[in-house]
Amino acid sequence: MINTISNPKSIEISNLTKKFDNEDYVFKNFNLKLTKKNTAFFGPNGCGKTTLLRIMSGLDKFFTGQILYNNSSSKGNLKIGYAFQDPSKFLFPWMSTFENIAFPLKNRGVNKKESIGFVRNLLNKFKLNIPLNSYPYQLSSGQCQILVVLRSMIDSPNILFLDEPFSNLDYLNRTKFLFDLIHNEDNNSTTVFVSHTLEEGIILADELILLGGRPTQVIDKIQISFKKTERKPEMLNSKKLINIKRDALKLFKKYI
Amino acid sequence: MKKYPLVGFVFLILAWSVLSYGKIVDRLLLPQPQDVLVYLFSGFIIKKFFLNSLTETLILIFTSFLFGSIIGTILGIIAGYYEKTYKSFELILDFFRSLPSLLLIPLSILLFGIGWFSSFIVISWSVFVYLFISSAYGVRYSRTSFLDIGKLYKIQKLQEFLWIILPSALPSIFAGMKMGFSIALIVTIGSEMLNGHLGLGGRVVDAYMVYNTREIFSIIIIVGFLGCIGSKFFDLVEGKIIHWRGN
Repeated sequence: MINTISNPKSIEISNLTKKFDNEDYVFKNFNLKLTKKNTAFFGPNGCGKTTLLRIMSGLDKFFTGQILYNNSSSKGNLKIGYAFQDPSKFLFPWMSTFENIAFPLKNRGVNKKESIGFVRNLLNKFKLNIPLNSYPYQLSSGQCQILVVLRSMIDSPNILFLDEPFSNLDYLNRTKFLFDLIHNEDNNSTTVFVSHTLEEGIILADELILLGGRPTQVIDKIQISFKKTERKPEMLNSKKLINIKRDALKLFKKYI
Repeated sequence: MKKYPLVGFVFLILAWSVLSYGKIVDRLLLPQPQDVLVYLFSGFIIKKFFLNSLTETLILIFTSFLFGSIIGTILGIIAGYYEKTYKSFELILDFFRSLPSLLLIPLSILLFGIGWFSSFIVISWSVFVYLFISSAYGVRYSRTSFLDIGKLYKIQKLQEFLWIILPSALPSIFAGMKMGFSIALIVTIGSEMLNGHLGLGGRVVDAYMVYNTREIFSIIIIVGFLGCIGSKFFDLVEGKIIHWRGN
C-alpha cells in the first residue's frame, strides 16, 4: 500500500506523568525527543516500555503531559502501526490469517482482491509461508507473533511501534526477520522498537535509548552508527557491536 | 473407545432387569423393560397417542424458545452496548434469573387462562432472561485488547460493533442458548404438568393418577432423548459457528 502522508520528523514526549492505580509513578515529568528513523528502547521488565508505546500511539489516554508529532499535539492523518506483545490477546480468533493481516486494509475500504495482493507481497518480502486460510489457533505462537507484526506493517504506517515483537521466535528466525525488516525497501515507517536484548536493538536502530529506575528515566542515548549496508549478520561479531553492548551494560550496573 | 458410551446403558438395563425380572420391586411400580418397549411401540406406531402429545410439547418448546431467545438476544446486545441500560437492568434480571420460573406458572394461568398461551409466556420469559443476561455480558465484556486494535485504526462505531464486539460476544451468547434450552425443557414439562392436559407433561400427570407406570417410564425415556438430542444439536452448531472456541 502506498502512503502519501510524510513521516513525522520528530516525536517528542514532554513532561509526561503517568501512574496506575495504587502504584508508584511509572513516569514523572519525563522528557524525551525522538528524531531518528529507527529508535529502540531497552530496559528491565516493568520499566514502562509498553506503557510508553501505548501512550505514544494514542491507545492510552490517561496521562498528563504532551506527545508532539512534528511539534504538533495532534497526530492528524498519520497512520500508526502497532505490533502488540501478546499475540494470543491481539489476534481475532474468528478471523483467518488473511483477514487478520488485512484488517487495517479492510477498515480503510480496500477491496479484497487488492488486499490479497498486498498481503502476498508482504509475505514474499519476508520469505514467509503461512497458509492464509488457516486460523490463529492452528498456528504456532511464533507464527501468530509474525501475523501481529505483518498486520502492523500492512498499510505502510508512518510510525510503526514494535513491542517486543519477536519474543516467541527462536534466535535464528528472530535475527533473520530483523535483517529482512531493515532491508525491505517498501518499509519507510519511522520505527519505535522495544527489544528484550541489546543486540536486536542495535541491529535495527539508529539510536538506542536505555531506560531504567522508578519513576523511569532515560539512562542514556546511544547513537548506533552502522550504515544500512553494514547491517548484515556479520555485524553480530563486529567489535563495534560488542563495544556498544559493553558500554550499555556498564551504564546499567547501578540499576540491576 | 467407541464402545464405552454404551457401557452405562447396558449397566442401567441390567440393573433394571435384575430388579424387575427378579421380582425385587413390584411390577406395578417398576414395569419390566419389555412392557415399556411394547408400550412405546404402541404409543408411537400403533395407537399413536404419544405422537400428539410429543407434537404439542415440541411446538410449545420450539415456539417459546425461539421467541424468548430472539428477543432476549437482541435486547441483551443493545443493553450490553449501552452501559447505562445494562446497569439499570442488571439487578432486576439477576433477581428473575435466580427465581425458579415454575413459580410464575400459577400467576400466568390466572392472567392468561389455562392452556398453551400461559405456558408459552412463562417459558419464553425464562429463556429471555438467560439470553438477555448472557448476550449483554458478552457484548459488555468484549476483550479490551480486541477493542484496542480497532481503536488504533480509528474504526467506525458500526464496524467496531459488527467486526469486533459481536463476534467476541458469540461464545457467551451460545452458552446462554444452551443453558436457555435446558431451562426451557424443564419449564415446558413443568408448566404442562400444572396447566391442563397439555403435551407429555400433562400425560405424565394423568398416568400417575391411574398408576400407569409403563407410561411414566415411557415418557421419561422420550423426554430424556429430547433433551439429549437438543444439547447435541447445540454442540454441533456451536462447533460450526464458533470454531475458535476451546482452541
